[in-house]
Amino acid sequence: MDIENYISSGILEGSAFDALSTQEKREVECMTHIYPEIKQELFRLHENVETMSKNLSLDVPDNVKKKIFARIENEPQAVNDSSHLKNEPGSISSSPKIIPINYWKWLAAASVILLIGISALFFNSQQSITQIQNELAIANKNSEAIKKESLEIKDQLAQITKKNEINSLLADDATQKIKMQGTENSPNSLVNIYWNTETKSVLLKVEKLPAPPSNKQYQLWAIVDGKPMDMGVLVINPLLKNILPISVKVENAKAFAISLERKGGSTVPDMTAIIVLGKV
Amino acid sequence: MIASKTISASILAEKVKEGDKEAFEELYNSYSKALYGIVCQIVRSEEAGQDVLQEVFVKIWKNIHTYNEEKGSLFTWMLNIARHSAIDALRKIKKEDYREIRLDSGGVSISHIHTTQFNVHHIGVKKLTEGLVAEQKEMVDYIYFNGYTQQEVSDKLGIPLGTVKTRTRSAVRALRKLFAE
Repeated sequence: MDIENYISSGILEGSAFDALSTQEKREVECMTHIYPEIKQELFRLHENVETMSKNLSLDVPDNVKKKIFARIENEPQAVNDSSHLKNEPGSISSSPKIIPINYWKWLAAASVILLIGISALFFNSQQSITQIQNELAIANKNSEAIKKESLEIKDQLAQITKKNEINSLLADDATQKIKMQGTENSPNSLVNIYWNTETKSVLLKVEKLPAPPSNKQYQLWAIVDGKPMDMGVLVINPLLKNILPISVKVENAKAFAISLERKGGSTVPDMTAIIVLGKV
Repeated sequence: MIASKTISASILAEKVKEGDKEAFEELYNSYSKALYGIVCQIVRSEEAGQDVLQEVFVKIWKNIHTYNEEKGSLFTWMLNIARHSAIDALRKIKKEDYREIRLDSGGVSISHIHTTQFNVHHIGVKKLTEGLVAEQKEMVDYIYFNGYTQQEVSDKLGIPLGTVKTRTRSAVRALRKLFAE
């Protein structure tokens, strides 16, 4: 390091005039720390500037001093932190429109508060949504239950209606009872037919009938004009127990019979598989 | 002579750091005239200068703990606080001036650099204006009284940074000759 060259470079004069960039200031600070000769030269240059300043002195009006001392009465000295002035002798804001640091602090604080606010709103709304969803689920469940209940009631009503129909059919004078006795295929079987000749409605009451094999189904026939007429396969309704209303209406029947047919029924009865038979 | 007061200045600084108001008053009595002179030289007005000087001494009182005598004398430290405060104030005044000029003359703005002719009858100012060559005086004006860095002067005047440094150097050295007792 050529100290003489450094001293004559003009950077120390720049420092004495406080005309250096931040980086240059650090450099001079470092150099004066290392080389006492440089420090000595810098301080000598400071004196030049001080001398000039002293020669520019002006008398200060007395009221200024009073104002200053009144102000420092209420002005505490800053504690040993460097937030106001760095170890530099004051600092010029590089441009007049520099934004005070507090502005950013406030802005940051405001942002945080806003974020918290939004989060709270979001959290609240999420909570509300969850609550609504729960309520909706409950309502759906409720409505399902009501639907189910109403279906059951409807079913029961239908059964009652059917039972009423059955009772009125059984009580009707126009209804005749036809006993269907078991054939040689099933001698102990007995099924009664209740047939209203006016309304042409038919129902049957199973007194005794063995359960059909799983691949077979009982089918009811009416004999009309000497020909078998399909009255449908028998589906046992557990609620009505052994009573079975027949949806097909019939007139001029001469006899009724039940045969054991393949599942789903047949178009013509298997004459070898007649289980019960009754003449009108 | 202030330069000979180095030791007492450092004791003064220590006392003021401890909150000693009498020491602060002594400091005011010793340095206020010189600081006021520089401040007025920069803001070009005694009225504005008095406001700035108030701020300067309040800053000195509040921030005395940041003064480090390893880096320079107490006077240099205070001088720089005074310069910075005055230059900040000047920039605000200039901004308002420009606004007024624009209003009055419909867009014509004046790029004016303050010269040291605030008080030409002042003996010190007379020495500065008469004793320095134009190039040196220009450096003192730009750098010391208007707060430009050497780089900014180089950009502003369109001359190499090395030249600015050489001129600064000769200006500061000329001050010694100029104000030698």
